[in-house]
Amino acid sequence: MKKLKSNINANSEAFAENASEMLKLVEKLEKHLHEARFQGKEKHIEKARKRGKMLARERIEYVLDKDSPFLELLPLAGMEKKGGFGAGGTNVSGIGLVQGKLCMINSNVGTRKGGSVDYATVFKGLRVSQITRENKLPTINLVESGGANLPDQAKIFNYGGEAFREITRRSKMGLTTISVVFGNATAGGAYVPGMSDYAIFQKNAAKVFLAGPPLVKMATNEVSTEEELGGAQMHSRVSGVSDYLAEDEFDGIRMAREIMEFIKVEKPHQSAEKQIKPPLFNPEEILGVVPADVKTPMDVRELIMRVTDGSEFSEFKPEFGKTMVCGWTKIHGYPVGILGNNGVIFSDSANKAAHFIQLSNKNDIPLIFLQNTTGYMVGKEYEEGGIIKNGAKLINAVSNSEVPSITLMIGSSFGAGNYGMNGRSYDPNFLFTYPNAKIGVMGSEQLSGVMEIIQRASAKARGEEYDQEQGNMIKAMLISEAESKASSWHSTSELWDDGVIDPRETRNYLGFALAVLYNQKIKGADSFGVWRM
Amino acid sequence: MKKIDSILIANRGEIASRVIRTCRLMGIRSIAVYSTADKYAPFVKEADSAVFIGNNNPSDSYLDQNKIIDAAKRVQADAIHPGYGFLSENATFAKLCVKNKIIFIGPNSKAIELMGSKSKAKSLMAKHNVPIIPGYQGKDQSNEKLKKEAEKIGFPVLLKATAGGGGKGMRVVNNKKELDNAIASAKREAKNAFGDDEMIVEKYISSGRHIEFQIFGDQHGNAIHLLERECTIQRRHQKVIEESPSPIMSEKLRKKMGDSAVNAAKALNYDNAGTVEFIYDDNSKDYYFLEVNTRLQVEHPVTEEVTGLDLVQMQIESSQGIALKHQQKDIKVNGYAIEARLYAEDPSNNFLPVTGTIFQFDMPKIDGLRIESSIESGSAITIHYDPMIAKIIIHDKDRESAQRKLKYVLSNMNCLGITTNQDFLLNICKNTDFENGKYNTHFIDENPALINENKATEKQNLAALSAVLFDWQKREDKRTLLNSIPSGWRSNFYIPQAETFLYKEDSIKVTYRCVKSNFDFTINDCSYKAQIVSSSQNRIQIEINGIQHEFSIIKNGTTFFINNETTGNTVLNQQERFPEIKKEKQKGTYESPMPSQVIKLLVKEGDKIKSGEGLVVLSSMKMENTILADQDGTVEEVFASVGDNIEAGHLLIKLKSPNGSL
Repeated sequence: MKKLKSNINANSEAFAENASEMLKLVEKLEKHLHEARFQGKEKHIEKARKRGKMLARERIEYVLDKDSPFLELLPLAGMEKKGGFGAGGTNVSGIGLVQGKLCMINSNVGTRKGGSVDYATVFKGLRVSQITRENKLPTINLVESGGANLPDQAKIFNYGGEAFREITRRSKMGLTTISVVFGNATAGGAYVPGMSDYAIFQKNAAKVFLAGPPLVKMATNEVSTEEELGGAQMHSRVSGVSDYLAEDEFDGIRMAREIMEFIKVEKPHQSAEKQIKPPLFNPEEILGVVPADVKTPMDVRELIMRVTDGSEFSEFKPEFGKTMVCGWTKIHGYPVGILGNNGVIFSDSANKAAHFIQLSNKNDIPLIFLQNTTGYMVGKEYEEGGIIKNGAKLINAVSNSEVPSITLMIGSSFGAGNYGMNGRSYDPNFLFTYPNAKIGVMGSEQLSGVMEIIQRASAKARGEEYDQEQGNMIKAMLISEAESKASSWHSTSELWDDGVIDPRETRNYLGFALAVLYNQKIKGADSFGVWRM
Repeated sequence: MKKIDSILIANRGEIASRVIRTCRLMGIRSIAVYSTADKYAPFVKEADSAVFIGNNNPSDSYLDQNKIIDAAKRVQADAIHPGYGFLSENATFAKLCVKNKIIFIGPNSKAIELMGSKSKAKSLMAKHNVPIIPGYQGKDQSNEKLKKEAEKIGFPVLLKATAGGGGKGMRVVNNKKELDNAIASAKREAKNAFGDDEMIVEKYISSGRHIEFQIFGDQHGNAIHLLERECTIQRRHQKVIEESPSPIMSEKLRKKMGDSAVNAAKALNYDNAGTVEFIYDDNSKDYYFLEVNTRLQVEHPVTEEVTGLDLVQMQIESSQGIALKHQQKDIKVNGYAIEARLYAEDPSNNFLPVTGTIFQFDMPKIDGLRIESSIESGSAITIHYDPMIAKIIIHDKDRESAQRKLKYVLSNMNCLGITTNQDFLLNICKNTDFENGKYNTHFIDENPALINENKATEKQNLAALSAVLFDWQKREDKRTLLNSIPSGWRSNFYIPQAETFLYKEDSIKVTYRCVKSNFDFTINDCSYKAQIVSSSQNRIQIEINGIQHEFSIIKNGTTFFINNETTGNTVLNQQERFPEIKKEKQKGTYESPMPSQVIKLLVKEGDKIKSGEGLVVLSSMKMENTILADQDGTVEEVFASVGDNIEAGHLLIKLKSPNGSL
């Protein structure tokens, strides 16, 4: 396969300057992730330690095979708070190996607000559940949660039910859920172990009931203890809600691992190759290659060559539709088709991409979209050239493609470009964002500029003088508002992606995600919607 | 002349292999005998044929005289070689051979008999001008008599009980003033321990060396000695290092001691290989007769190396009635030889023997190295027999060269899968006093540093690091999913990977993180940077803080046996990630502390027991161990019977407390 050649001088001043700007963003990411690792107030952690409890993340480390990689998902969901608990909510989720099998692991942070569920946690759970189902993974839940965060209940009650529905739907598909209960799993929370295929309750720790002693007293006047209503011993010996009685936390985790040994999992579509060539170019250089300022143009091949095996890339139609780079290659030994923007999308680039997506579907090859576009080209010439119908072809191809896909936001993601390049609403199996990436209907300056033009027109229509001072103020406000809404931090807080990533780790994220995509049979689409010609 | 065309070897292990080797050289058919445990042992394979003689209990096999004779008859063996131990110094057996017209390869039974009794041996030697240790043993036990004798012998003297043993009733007395008190207390102790307070007074040698002479006699009245062996370095009364010549030997002293040894041989009409043991007093430079061993010694290779003779061949020839081919003047010292005995034992646990399987056994290939062993990779050390694994013998031009080679061999050999005294032997070789030949029989007791200290140290840290990476590599080789994603990769790093090992009682906590195939280790608060250079089945080469180390590693279950030139031999126990939850030991239950055989049951069901009373006697590798009650009670159930071979942790006995409940 042809090896890509770099046209970048990694020793230039511009390169170093950009790398230092990107590094600042990566440091900001690390700062946010550091906050997301927060597992509750010191006194709650102290209390848990005293009772011999492990913290949520420690439990995950124990469930995983020794040295297993672990891809944490949505670590910054809800980081802008808005009445919630902050980054990550009260659940740590991710994919790793348990008994050599890919497995989704969800671990409640019992030391943060008692593990109760806020708005972000609910939606994070639903997204994780979607990833689990689409990628046909078994699940291990490490449960210790006080249920819904009551002040949030109106916001989450209706959506929350989906979590339980999904457990049993996955079970129907043959996707196992194992729940290990280390503490509270009450009221609605009781249905997490209740719906699971396997339930393991920890002795003298698990409390699983629909209603606690006060509510029972209120409802039926019966006097009861927590242990009587929902202790592990009762559930293991009397009710049968628990299938296994664990002596302690380690024992519970050991049992979950033991069960995993006998769980049937999907046969991988393809295993990675044994001998894998690293890229010829240092992935560290991605920091200098990808512009921190999305307005600066870049050749997406410079990123591709720092991510693919041996920097190889079999490019499709290289001389045609040059703002859309398409080609096949391998990442961590897995075949993949890559579509990357080199700027705005023209009719020919849209057509080329639609063609490429069809070919990849014929050959059952997953797709990676590297989004860096301000959208489809506008203007008289382009409308006449049918940019709408050609853009529609790309959206048709992306919407009806049936090979799994990954989208990576590496710069701009504006307008219908976001849709054509497999944005969130097109359900890529994974979507990751670089910290420099921007997203929105259009860029903040365009947006404020457009607003100014409209307001000037409106003032003129009313016969009024356009107030320049007020106009400037509104413009500045609009820019600032649009900027913050367009940032990767807002994006990830709103769960528009599955995580903001360190660009230097791109190859590992993509390789990991591809291993997950290839974990099941891949079958491309046989037909698409009507192609407008 | 009696002809020998075939020899049955009434022994096992390395000595059987040794005899077979000479048989083959001489064209003699060799026949091994074996017990159940030895069915697949190398010496059985090496022999031209082999006869099964019974179960693992020595008294049912290697010590059963009738079975041995019967086996010899079945295969029409002309002679029996007894090796050492077992029946080698058994006069009855020697006679039984003669009676069955089978040649016993060893001295005549009368010589064996004479030397079997220490007191008879002493008086015989005294008559034949062999110096014996001055002392008094007699009916007159009055203080005055004992005092008089002590003065005659000269202080310091040793008082010991005639019925003695185990140091009870034994006193070293340095001067006349101490004597009265010492006699009184020694007698009291002896009376309590043995019910008999008769005392022997003997010269006490505060700084002695154990020097022995190899003697050889034929049936024609000739006897010579084949130089001395220095066997002073001993633990638990067993030799560890033997050398020849002795570092303190002069031509004059050799002549004097050698004459005494030959006198001893002549006094016995000695007609085969034997050893005359002396104690040499460092202070007075006098030497005294201890005993004659009427067999081929374990350490005979040392003599073979310096004299160039094949002692087994000489034994075979002599027992056929062939006269000695050498005269005393022909026997010359050729260079220097040293032997180190590799044992399956734990020096830090009082040299107690250990059992297990040796998974890897290999020696560096160097000139002048001779290995006497019947061990191969996969051999087991069982509770039934001696725990000696191998004799490592070096022959070179002088003591310094040979010692250097021995150190090299002990540093570079591998004997993995079991705890051994390898490092202990190496420490002896590195000791300055040993290097200078300045040592006496207290050498090991006076140098506790020879035994590795119990605390986990830097060496153990490196061993733990090697174990982690060895295990890591094995896991990595097996990984099929996410196989090229870096080990332990995290999108949101939280804590490093962790492992815990036990080194004896100490735990070694290891955490590590792999970044771009470099490992950052923290072990017991020390930091290391490591990288795997290469690895194979039982070996791993690691660069640690810029220095490459090669480790040989055997992992058996959760136990790592690690050998490395700088860290030595280390046994580490990997703590399970999810240790089985141990049910607390039930009160009133007694388990076997190590793999053993049940020798004796001291109680039966229903017996009432007081705390401190013995319950059951176990035996492991010739060592007996009595399990004692730690509470009063009634025996509820006995879970073992005499003769059972049991694993460590086997439930033996359950007691009920006097009031019925526990």
